[in-house]
Amino acid sequence: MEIVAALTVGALVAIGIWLLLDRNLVRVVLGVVVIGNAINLGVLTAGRFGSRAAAFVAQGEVPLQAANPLPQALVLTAIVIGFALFVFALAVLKRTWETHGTTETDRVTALAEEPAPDLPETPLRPGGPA
Amino acid sequence: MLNAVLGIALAMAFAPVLSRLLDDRAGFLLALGPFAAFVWFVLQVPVVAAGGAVMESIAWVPALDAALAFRLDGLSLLFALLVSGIGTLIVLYAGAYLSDHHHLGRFYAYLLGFMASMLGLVLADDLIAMFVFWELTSISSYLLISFQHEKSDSRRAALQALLITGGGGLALLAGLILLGAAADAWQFSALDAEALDGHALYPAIIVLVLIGCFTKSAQLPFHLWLPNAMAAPTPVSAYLHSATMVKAGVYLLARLNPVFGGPDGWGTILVVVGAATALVGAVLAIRQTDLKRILAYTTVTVLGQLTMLIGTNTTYGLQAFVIYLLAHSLYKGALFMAVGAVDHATGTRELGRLGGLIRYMPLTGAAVALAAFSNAGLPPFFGFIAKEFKYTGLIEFGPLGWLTAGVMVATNALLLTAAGLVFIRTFLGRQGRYLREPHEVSMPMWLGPMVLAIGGFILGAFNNLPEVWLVNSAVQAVSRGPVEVHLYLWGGITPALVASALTVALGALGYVYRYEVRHRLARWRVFWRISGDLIWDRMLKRIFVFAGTLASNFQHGSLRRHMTLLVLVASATALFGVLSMAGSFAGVGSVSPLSPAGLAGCVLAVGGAAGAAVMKGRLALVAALGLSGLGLALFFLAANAPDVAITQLMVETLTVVFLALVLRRMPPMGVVGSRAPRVRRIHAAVAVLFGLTAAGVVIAALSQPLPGDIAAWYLANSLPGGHGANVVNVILVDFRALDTLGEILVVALAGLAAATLLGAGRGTGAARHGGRAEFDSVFLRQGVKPLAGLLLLVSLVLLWRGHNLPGGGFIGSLVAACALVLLALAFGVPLARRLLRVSPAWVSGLGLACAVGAGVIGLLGGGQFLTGGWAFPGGLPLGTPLLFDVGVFLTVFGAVLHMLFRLLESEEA
Amino acid sequence: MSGLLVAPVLVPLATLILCMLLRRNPGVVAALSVAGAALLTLVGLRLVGLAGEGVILAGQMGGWQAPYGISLVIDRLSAAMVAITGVIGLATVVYGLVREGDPAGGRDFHLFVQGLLTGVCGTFITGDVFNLYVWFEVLLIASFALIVLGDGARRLSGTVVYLFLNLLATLLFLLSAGLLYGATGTLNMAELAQLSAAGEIPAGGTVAVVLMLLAFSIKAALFPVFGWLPASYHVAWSPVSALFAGLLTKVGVYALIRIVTLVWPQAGVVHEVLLWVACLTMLVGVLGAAAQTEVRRILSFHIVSQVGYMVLGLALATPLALAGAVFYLIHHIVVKANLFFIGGLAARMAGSERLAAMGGLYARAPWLAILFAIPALSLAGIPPLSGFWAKFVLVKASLDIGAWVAAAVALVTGVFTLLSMSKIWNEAFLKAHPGGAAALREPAGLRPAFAVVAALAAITVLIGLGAGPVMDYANAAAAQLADPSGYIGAVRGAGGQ
Repeated sequence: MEIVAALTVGALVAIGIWLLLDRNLVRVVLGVVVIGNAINLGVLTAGRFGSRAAAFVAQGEVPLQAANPLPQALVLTAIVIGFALFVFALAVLKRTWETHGTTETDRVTALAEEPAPDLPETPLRPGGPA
Repeated sequence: MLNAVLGIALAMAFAPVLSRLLDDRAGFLLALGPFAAFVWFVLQVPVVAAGGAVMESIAWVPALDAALAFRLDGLSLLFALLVSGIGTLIVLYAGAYLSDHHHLGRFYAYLLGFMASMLGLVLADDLIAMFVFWELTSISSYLLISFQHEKSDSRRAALQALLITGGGGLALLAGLILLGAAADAWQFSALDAEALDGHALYPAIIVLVLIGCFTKSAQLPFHLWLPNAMAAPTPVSAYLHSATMVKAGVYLLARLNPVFGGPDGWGTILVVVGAATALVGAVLAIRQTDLKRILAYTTVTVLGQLTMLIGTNTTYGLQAFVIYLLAHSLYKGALFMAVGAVDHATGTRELGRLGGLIRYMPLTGAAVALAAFSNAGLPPFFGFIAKEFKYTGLIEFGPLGWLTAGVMVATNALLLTAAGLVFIRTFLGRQGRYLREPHEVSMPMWLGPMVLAIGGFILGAFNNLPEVWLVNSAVQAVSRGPVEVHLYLWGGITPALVASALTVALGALGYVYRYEVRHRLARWRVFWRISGDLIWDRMLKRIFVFAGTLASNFQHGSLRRHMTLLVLVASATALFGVLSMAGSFAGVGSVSPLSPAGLAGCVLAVGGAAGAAVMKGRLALVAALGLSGLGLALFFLAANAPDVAITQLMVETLTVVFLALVLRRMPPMGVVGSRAPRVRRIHAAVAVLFGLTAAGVVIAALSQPLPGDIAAWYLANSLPGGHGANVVNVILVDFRALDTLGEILVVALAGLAAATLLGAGRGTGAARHGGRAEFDSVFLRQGVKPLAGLLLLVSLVLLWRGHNLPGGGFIGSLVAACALVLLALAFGVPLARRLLRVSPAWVSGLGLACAVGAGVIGLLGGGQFLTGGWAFPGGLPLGTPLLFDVGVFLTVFGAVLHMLFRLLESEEA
Repeated sequence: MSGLLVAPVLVPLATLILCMLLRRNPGVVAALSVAGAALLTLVGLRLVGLAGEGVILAGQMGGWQAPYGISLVIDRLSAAMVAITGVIGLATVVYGLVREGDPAGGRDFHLFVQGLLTGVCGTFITGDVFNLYVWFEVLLIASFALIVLGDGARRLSGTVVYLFLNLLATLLFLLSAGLLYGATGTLNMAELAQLSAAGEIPAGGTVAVVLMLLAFSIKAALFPVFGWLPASYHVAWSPVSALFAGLLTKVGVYALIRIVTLVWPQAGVVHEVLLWVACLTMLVGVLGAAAQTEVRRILSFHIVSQVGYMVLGLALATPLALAGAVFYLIHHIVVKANLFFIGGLAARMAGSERLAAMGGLYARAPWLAILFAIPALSLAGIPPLSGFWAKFVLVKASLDIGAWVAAAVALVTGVFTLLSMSKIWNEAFLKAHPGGAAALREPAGLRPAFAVVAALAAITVLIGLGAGPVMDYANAAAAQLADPSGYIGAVRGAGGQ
């Protein structure tokens, strides 16, 4: 099972990188999700499979061949963190589309290498949502 | 001695204020600083002349053997007197020269700062302290040279000086570190010459030290900066190029001569480089028509000569070095100041326009005459004695001596010609063409040249004074062993006297045929090309071009290129790791049997992702991605990880919802255009490579049974220690609760961040009150309310039972968030907001507060942060980990809603 | 004691929570933020005091013994890092009070700065690899929020690069942390060090650690994976880029130092590789800087080159070199943040941060010129400022063990640093403003910003003049790093059930 899981990790990572290298920012965001999933699987795999029972100790008896609870806890944490980062990336994607009018990755990122604009004489509109 | 340095530094600190209060009269007050130091040094003369040395030391960085150690011996005293004495005159002079300058205060500050550094340099006994002052002179001279900063010439010259001397300084630093390590001593006075002779590092040390000294003292090929530094105001040139900055290198050469001046190459290098520098400087000097530049190039010549003299290491050579150093400082300071006065009075420094000035400026003229005689090496001036000793010293040097003596004769002749240009051409002869009527300058401006010029005369005429009080002790400090010193004006008919006569004759001829000489020199095109500034400019340009090319490899502005590089490096690193340890892998260790559900999950996960990778339709994409996540959830379930599976399921649901909400406003995927097949192939290769790498490292980690007893410990302690049967949940809220705290912090911050970002796109509050349902179907809406209520209930149950059964704060909150998502979609955000009553951001803040509070309770109970406290009212286990889980619930719930509401609102805008 | 141990995390976290709860009132949020950062500084100084006595504070969170519970450990290095984080945090929030007309200013700025400080302090005190990952994520999400703060196409553009490259790095870290557990059966750093000392880290574990070091190297912006840094730092609001410049890469450097010294206290292959990487980082960074024509871009590339120095100290692996790395960390954080702060002020006055469009500041704002000169010269390693000692120690350490190339690179990098600093000085300060003196602006209300800049410059001078005690501290910190037994002992002795 471990080998299958490892190969799955590899396949998912490859697909994720393929997406990350896409010229459309939407797919880049998806790539992050896919790689995130792959790596979560990898972390769980590192804790070994082969258990016959989930990690519950209902009556104070440790079941034989219970699953390793630690990687599960780690993965749970990682899933939630990954989700939080994904939502932020999504917000960036949306704002990028709104301000740049394109989602073509390299066209978006090239702007940061343009010369810095002059600073406005008068203070800008104080921004930030209330 | 520290007091002298600090005193001048103090004057520096007050200079701007004082000059604002007193205008140009501030100079008189500020000159008291260096003058007091001068007096103090004069008072030390008897001590030092008697063979003693004044020492001072304050610990600085004991761990590095660095101390502020000072030592006043003959050499230091000579320099200290020149630095503080000429410094006093320069401060006075500058006040008059720059009296109407806007930033005179700043100028004083830099000048005094430079003076303090220079004084520190010549007094320091500690290698590191000396280096500190050395670099400070580079910086302060940079500020002085760039004083007229609006001129691009000044800026360029200052930068050139800084880079050359600063760069040399770093070589010197390396040299000094090696020297200190090799000699195991960090004080000049403690360096042991015997220990260094034949030391393995000796060649490296002298090369590095010499680079430092040569750059500072403008020796070939680092001489360019010195003439360019004439862009500085004249008081600066007068100071830097007579007694101080450029002499710092010579000083250090002399200081280290006893240590390095053994049998090895040191002397030869100095003589050869010095001779070359002297020649080049002299030739270049004659070619100039600007008085100041003439003086600058003669300075280069003199520095070369001084370097040669140290290299001879003969009795006469070293005596000549000391005398000449003194003589040159005096006359060159005088000449520079006088040229400044001429410039000030006439508005020009061009030879062609000058002449007959003695009528207008008799005092300055007299000073120049005296200084020029000394410069020309005519008796009975001090310069004459210097010249005699130079010849004797070089002739003593041996086979190379005659050759170098020849160089010396030639360069001295050229110096004499230059002296003629400065005095005869400028002050005598027919009236020059002046833009305005010249006038004699004010007292502070003629005082300096006069004092120095007369000094040169007195020292020469009454030469036993300097011999007894200054020269003797200085020569002892420079030479390896004791040396007998005796100065004289008349030593009989010696080869030196013959050479002297030859020099005067050649110099006079040179002056008479100066136009011819210049004309001939101008023909050496190749020579001018290699010795000019061109090389410098070309070199800088090359560096910038190279740097630009290099930088453009990292500043292409392409995310995909950045990403490709990163992925390749990661693959290479991991593969290198795996392959280099290939022998140590024991093969795949514990392999568990395949489970059909797990396999199906894997297939689904990969298939879904692959679908997402190739599909163009937005909805299909989202669906495929969702499917992939679902497959993963299935796998987790099969792997006996129910909590992970449920979390994955909930997260995947929310992911799909968010994605769908965002993507529906975006263009279809196809419009962006296709990519080149070659790029596509590269990307595919990179992706596959990294995929293989990832699989490889996972397998590598599994190559043996899992060590350690952590899993067993958790299983064993979950119920007795953590009062929970769901071990995963107990780990999350108790055993490793700190991870969870960080995690919910991430979620809370992400919620805030995403909401802030999405909020930035809205018109100011316009959409707030809109509120439109996303579902049009009334039928759907009817079903939503009870469903949402049910979900909320379920979420609370999940939260409660999570400690013992699948569930917990995360899962509960995600379910609850789904309930509000449904409500918001069905009835619009305003309703959902109303239902919530408080702002979602506040909820997530409250959640964090609960979680932290639960941890702090443990702290207050005398335990560690997050230590669980338990009570069992009616057999019901209640503990702070449960409060922590409530915190998790609230934080995640609030943050998800915060993002979602803002997203929906921004859609409406 | 146990309260003090978690205080570096709790103080900014509590500040953040209070700010979140009182979010409706921006004035209160700003005041809280300043107070919180000041308190963090005090906590840091107290920790430095304790650590200076040789105490290694350690504790087990939740009271669960290592390696089952999470260890927090504060040794000399950690304490110094916490203190300096407090200082930079305080400087940033005070400077942030001057909004400079940028929409990024405001209460959210304070929230995210506190979040970032929490994450940064967390990484400095944790003794657990996965916990380190979590704190990395905390500071990462806070940094994402900060860099994009104020919005705008340009800022988003830089954010996209920053976001995705850092996400990839962080995923790499997650993978390596998981694999490390799978191979060694532990996540506890002290236990890892013990395993390593006993030669019991299996090959798979070594691969995991190497992968982890790569993830840290990306964070630290080492050659050749530094591309994200100069592509993004210059787009943010100036106090944000100053905060990043001061702290973020140094978190990566800290993590490198921590893991490498624990797992491989003796020099080996990894050190060899790091040595070359460090040299290339120094050179490429400094040359890249020479090619730039904007203030913050020059400074950004210099972060890269300076990180090379710190890693050089780690790679040389002698006690003196490690001390140099520690000294360099302390010095560099202050100096670099300050240069970005000053760059922001200079741009505000000159109306641009393109050097070609700047000028005249030397005549108009001499104080700013002096305040720039201090950190700029310190960065270039000019004595007697802090940077001189940092560079001196590293060069000496290189020469001591005959690492000639490293010493030469370190020195040459110094010359080029001087070149770029004088470029800024020449163009922005000395040269006349291309629009004439009238084009220079005199924005009102910059006083807090000037106070910050002056205070940081004073620290630079103090570290330089009073290098003795700092060097003693760095030496002692290096001694703790060179011998992990103290660290292991502290965690072992931290108790727990």
